[in-house]
Amino acid sequence: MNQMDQTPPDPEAERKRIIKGRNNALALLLFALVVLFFFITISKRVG
Amino acid sequence: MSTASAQPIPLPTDWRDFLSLTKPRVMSLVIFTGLCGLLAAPVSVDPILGFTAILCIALGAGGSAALNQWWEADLDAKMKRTANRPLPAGRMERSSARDFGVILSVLSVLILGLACGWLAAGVLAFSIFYYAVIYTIWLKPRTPQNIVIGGGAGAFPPMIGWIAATGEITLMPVLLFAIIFFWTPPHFWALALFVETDYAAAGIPMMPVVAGHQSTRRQILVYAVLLLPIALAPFLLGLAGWFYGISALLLGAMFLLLSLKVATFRTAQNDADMRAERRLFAFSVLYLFALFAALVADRFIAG
Repeated sequence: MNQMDQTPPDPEAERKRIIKGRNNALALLLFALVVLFFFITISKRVG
Repeated sequence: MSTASAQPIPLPTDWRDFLSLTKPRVMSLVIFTGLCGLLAAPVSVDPILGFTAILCIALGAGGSAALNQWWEADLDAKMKRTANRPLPAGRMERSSARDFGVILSVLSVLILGLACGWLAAGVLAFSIFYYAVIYTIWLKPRTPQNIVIGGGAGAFPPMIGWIAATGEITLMPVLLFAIIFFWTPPHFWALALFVETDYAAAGIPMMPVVAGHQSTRRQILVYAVLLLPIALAPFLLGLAGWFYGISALLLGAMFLLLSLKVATFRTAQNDADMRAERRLFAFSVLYLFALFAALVADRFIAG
């Protein structure tokens, strides 16, 4: 194991990484919902 | 320096922990049986609405799983199998799990209602209530029959899939419900026999803990015997074709044989490694996948 592996992760960097991941996941979810509602509306109107 | 400043501020919860709250592995079976219910229905389903129905069944299952983990966080901490879940491991606030579960549940019911009708949405809402309240909060800690009653929660997805496709409750979705309902006790009791120590540590009255191994093994056989005619019923009542009938018969015979081994065949070696119970548990998963796949295949064979 080298010196780099033993360095503890910076808590602030870790915090930023987790928050960024959560924001991305939420944005993706909201976008998916918008797309889903769009297609449901099209399907209901066509059907 | 104050004491507070010496304590590290806890990290926010990672999105993967929210995902794990939904029990993705259990969800795969829910999605599969829900999809089978949808595809086996004798109507053609709009692909977008069909996809939405399955998504909502999955979201509802995820929401109720999150509520289950919110309620059982203390019990999960006592079992090796569940101790690393986000709540017992301290990676998430309990209220976050509760809110996440409620949001997913409400969202799934609303979207399903708007897309596929309020009957399917109503059954989905009831299934979430059944799992989160009737099973998790009320019966699981109180009765060794918890698995029998809890099996109802897992039996809803194919029924919801069928109702989402057809818009009505007929005999067939009730039979699909019954198949999973009678399949659940032998499936979970086989598992509970070889992880008994864990359940005992958490104080959950699982059948092997309360009634003992022999009684549990006999009850496994009883449910396996009941499951055979119920699984054959769609064929016998003319609701499914010969392909499904033959599949149900062969799979049911194998299930019965393995249950019989669990109930009767006992040696010191077998008791030690629980080989028969492990085999039955593994086959029970295959059984359900194969039976529902046969139902869908039969529908396409029949046209």
